[in-house]
Amino acid sequence: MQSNLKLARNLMLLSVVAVSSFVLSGCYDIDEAIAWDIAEEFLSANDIYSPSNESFNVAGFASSLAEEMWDEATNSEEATALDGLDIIARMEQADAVSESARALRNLPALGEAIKLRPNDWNYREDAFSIAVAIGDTGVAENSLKASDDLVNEAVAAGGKCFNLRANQLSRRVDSLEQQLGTLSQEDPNYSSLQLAFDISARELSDLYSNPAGNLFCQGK
Amino acid sequence: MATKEKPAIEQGNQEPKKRPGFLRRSCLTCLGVIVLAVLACVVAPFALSRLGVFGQPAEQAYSGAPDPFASASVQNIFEAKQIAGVKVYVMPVTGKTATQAFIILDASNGYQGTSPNAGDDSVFVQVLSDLVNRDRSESLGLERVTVEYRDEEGSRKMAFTIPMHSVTSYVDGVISRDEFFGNAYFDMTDSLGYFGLDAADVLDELGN
Repeated sequence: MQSNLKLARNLMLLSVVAVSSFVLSGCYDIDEAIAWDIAEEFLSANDIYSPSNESFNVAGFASSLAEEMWDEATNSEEATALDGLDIIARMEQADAVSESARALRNLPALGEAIKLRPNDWNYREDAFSIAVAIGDTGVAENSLKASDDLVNEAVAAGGKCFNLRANQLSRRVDSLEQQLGTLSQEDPNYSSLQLAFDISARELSDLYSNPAGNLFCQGK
Repeated sequence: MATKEKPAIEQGNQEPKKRPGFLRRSCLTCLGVIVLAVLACVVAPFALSRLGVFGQPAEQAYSGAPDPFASASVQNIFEAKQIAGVKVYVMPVTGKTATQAFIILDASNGYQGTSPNAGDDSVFVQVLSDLVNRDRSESLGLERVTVEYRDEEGSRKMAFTIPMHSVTSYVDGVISRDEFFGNAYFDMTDSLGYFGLDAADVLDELGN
C-alpha cells in the first residue's frame, strides 16, 4: 500500500518534471504547455504542488480531492460546468441521430434524439419539419406545441424571451429549408412545407425588425 | 376466600426480558449513523439543491438548445485563425440570462493546436482577446468558458473551466498570466487519469 502511494507521488512528480524538461527543451506543443501551465497553477494555488521546490503535498492533494467531491455533491458552478461537457457529448450524439433522421425523414429515429435531450426544442423543431414533409399533421402540431412549451418553460425559469424565441425560430427555418431542398416539388406535401417555411421565416424576420411586437414574447 | 391463582406466567416465572446485547446495540447505532451519513451525503445535497441552496445539476442547467448565433460567432474566432478541429457551443443556462461557452478542441477531428508552429502562446492570447471583444460587441452574455481537449480517439484528455471575468481581466491586463491560470478550475479526477493515476486508489492509500 505504502509503495503504491510512493508510486503515485513519484508519477505525479515525474509528470511535472517531464513537462518542465519538455517545455524547456523548446520541442513542445504550445497547447500542451498551456494546459500544463494551468494544471501547475491550479496545483500550486490549491497547495498540492510547490513549483519553487518541486514538492508534492499529499495533504493538499487529499484536501483538493475532497473539495472536488464536495463541489460535485453540491453542484458548484465549476463542477456543473465541467459536468456540462457530458451534456455536450450527449447533444453531439443527439445531433448525429437527428441529422440522419432528417435526411431519411424518419420520425421514429428522431425519437432517439428527443430521448437523449428531452428539453431541447431543436429536436422538436426537426420533428415538426419532418412531419410536415411527410404530411403527418398530428405529429406536426404536437411537435410545434412541445417546442413552444419548452421555450416558454425556459423563459419562465428566467431566460430571455427574445433570444430563446429567435434561436427556436432559426432552427425551425433551417430545418424546414433542409426538407424543402430535398423534397420534390411534385410531392403533395411540398406546398404545406413551403407555407410553413414562409410563415416561420416571416416571424423570424418580424422578431428582429420589431421585437416588441412579437406575440410570443409579449408580456414575458 | 380462595384466592385466585395467577397463571404461572404472571407469577414471575416468565424469563426476564433480555436487554439487547452490547453487540446488537452497537450494530444498531452503527446502522443509524450510516443511514444518517447517507442521508446527509446523498439526500441532503439533492434536497438543498432543489430548494436552490446549492447549484443546479448540469442536466438541468444546460437542458435548453444552444444559441446558434453566439456559437457561430465564437467558432468564427478559431476559423478566422485557421485553427481546425474546434467546435463551440454557447449554451443558455436555465434560470439565467447569461450564457456559457463550451469549446471542444478535438484532435480526432483535426485539431492540431492553436499554433503548432508559433512556439509561443501569442495565438492563444489573441483568441482570448477576440473572445472578450466579441462578448462585448455582440452582447453574447458569456459568464464562463469551459474547455475540453479530446485526443485522437475523441476521448477527453483534459478539461478546465474559467469565469469570463477572469478572461476579461487577463486580456485587459488587470491580472497576470499566472493569476489567470490560477483562476481556472481543473478537472482533477480526469487529470489524474491523464497522469496515469486513479483518484479513488490514491485516496484509499491516503486512508491507510
